[in-house]
Amino acid sequence: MRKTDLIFSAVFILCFVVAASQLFKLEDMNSAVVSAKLFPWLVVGLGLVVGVLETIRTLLSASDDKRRSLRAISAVAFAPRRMMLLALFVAYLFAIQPIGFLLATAIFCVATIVLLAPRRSFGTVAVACAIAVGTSSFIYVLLVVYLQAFLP
Amino acid sequence: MYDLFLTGVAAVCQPWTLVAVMLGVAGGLVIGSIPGLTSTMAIALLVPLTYAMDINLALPLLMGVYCGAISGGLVGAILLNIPGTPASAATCLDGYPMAAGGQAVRALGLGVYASMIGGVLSGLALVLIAPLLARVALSFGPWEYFSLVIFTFSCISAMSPKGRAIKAFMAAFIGILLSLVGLDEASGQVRLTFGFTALESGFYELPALIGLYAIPQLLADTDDIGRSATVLKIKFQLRAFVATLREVVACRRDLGRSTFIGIIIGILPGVGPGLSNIVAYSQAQRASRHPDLFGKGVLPEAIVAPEAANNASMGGALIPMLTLGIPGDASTLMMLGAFMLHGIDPGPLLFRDHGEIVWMVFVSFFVAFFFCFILYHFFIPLTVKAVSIPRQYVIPVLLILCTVGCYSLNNRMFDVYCFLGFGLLGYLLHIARVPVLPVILGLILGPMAETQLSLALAFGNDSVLPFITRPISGGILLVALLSLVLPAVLGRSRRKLANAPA
Repeated sequence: MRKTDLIFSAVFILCFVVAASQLFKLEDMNSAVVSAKLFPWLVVGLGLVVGVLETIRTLLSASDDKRRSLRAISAVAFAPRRMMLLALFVAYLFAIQPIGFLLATAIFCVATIVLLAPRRSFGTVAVACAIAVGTSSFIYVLLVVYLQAFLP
Repeated sequence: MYDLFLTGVAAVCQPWTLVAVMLGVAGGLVIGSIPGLTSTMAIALLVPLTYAMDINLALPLLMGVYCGAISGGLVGAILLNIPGTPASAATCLDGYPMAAGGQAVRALGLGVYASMIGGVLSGLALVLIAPLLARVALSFGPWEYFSLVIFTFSCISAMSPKGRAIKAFMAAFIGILLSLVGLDEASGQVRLTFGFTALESGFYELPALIGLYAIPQLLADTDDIGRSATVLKIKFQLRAFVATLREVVACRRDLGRSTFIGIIIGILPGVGPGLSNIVAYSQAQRASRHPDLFGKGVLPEAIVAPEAANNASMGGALIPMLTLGIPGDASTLMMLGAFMLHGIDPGPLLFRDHGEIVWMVFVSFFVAFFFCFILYHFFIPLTVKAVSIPRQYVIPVLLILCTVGCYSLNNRMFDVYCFLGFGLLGYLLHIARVPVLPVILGLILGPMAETQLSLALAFGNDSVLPFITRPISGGILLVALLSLVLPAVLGRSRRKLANAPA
C-alpha cells in the first residue's frame, strides 16, 4: 500500500502544481483581497501542504503489507473482467454518435453480457438479446414517448 | 404550518404521485436488495430521468427510491450474508446466522419492522427539528456558512478509518479544485480550463456524481460474476412475519436508543447509515444482558438495533440537506443534486419561500415508509429473487441507464464524456483507497465556500477575525477543530492506559 500511497501523493502534488501554474495567468481586477485568485490560491496552497503531509506520513509509516502491495493491488485493479468492461463501455460511448444510440446500446448490451458471463452458451446469448431488446425498448418508451426527451 | 402541511398532503395524495412513490419504493427495494447496488446508485440512476418530470412528481418518486433502497439492504444481509447496501453491514452479523438456523422469516420480520419504526421516528424528528434549524439558519451570515463547510470536511476526515484522514482531506481538495474549473462569474475570467472552451461552463454536478459513484462500483462488481453465493431458501409465511412485530416492540429500549443514534449520526455531515448501524449494534451489545449471544443469531435486538439505526439516519441526513444545503450522506448528496436539477436551492430560504415543497418532501417520506411497509409484506419473495440476479445482466443495463441519464440533462455528449472521466477518476481513487464522498462534497460545496468567503471578507473589510469572534461561526470552527484533534488525543491516551502496567 505504501508504494500506491506514494504514487497517489506524487500525482496529487503534480496536479496541484499544474493547477498553480495556471493560476499565474489570472489577472487581479482590483487591489482588494477578494479576487478571482484568492480562493484558488488558498485551495492550491492548502492542497499542496496536505499532499506533502501525506507523503511524509507514508514515508514514516510501517513497511508495506504484502497483501496490499503494488503488485497485488494492480492485479485486482486491472483484472481482465474489469478492463474488458471498461474497454467495452468506452467503445460504446464513442460508437453512439457514428452508429446511433439504439444500435450501439443493443450491441453493447449483448457483447457485455456474453463476454462477462462465466460460461457462454446459446442460452446466455438468448438472454443477452432479450435484455438488449428490453432495455432499448424501455429507454425509447420512457424518454422519447413518455418524457419527450432526446436520445443521445 | 398547518396550511403547508395540508398543501404537502394534497400534493402527495394525487393518484399519479402515489403511484410514483410506490414505484420508487418498489424499485428502491429491488435495487437495494442486490448486493453492491446502493441507495446512492438507485437515486443516481433516477435523478437525471426525472429532469423532464414535474417537481411534484419527481421529488416524491426520489423519496420513494431513497427509502426503499436503504430498507432493501437487509434482504441481502439476512439471506446472503452480503449486505445489499453498506447501511446493513451490521445486520449480517446476526441476521444471517438466524436465517441459517431456519428462522429466515423471523429475521426478515425483525429487520423490516425495526426499519419501519426507525424510519418513521426519524421522519418525526425531521419534521420537528428541520423547521427550527432553518429558522436559526436564517440568521447565518457568510462567516457561519463558510465555517459549516469547514466543519463538513473536518467531520468526514474525523470519521475516516485510521491512516486515511489526510487522504479524505486530499479528496476534498481534489473536489474543490475541480469546482474551480470554468468561468468565474465575479471577475469574468476563465480558470483552469487549459484552453478548452467546453470546460468554460465548468463541470455539471450530476454527471460527476454519477460517474464517481457508478463506474468504480460497477467495475468492482464484475469480480462477483461467477461466484456462487448461496441464497438461503425461505418458506414465506405472512402470519409468522407479522408475529415478529411483537418482538420488535418488546425491544423498545434498543429501538429508542438505536433510533436516537441513527438520527444524530445522520445529522452529522458526510456520515450516514453506513456508520450508524455499526454504532447501534455495538451499543446494543454493550447494553445487553447477554452480550455473549451477539453474533449467534438468537437475540432479536441484534437485528432490531442496526436496522432501526440505519433507517433513522435517513431522516437525520435530510435535516442538514434541507435546512443548510449540506448533505448528510452520499444518498442525500444525490437528493441535493435532484433539488438543484429542478432549480431549487436547499437552505433556510427554502423553508421561507417554498414551504410547500418542504412539506411535500416530509409527507412523501412518511408515504414512502407506508408503501415500504405494505410492499414488504407481499414482495419479500420478489426481493429474494432480486438478490440472486446474475451480475452480468445488471451491470450493462445500469451503465446504459447512467449514460442516458447524463445525456438527458443537457442533451450534449460532453456530459457523457464527463461522466466517463469522473468515473475513471473515481476508479483511480478506489484503487488508492481514497474516499470518494469528499470529492463530491468538494465539488458541490466548493462554489458555496468561495462565494461565502468572498462575501465574508468583503463585509468584514478583509478581516478574518469575524470567523472567530462571531459566536456561531466561532463555535462551529471550535467543534471542527475538536473533531480533528480529539480522536487522536483520546486514542493516544487510551493506548497509554492499555500499555500501563496493572
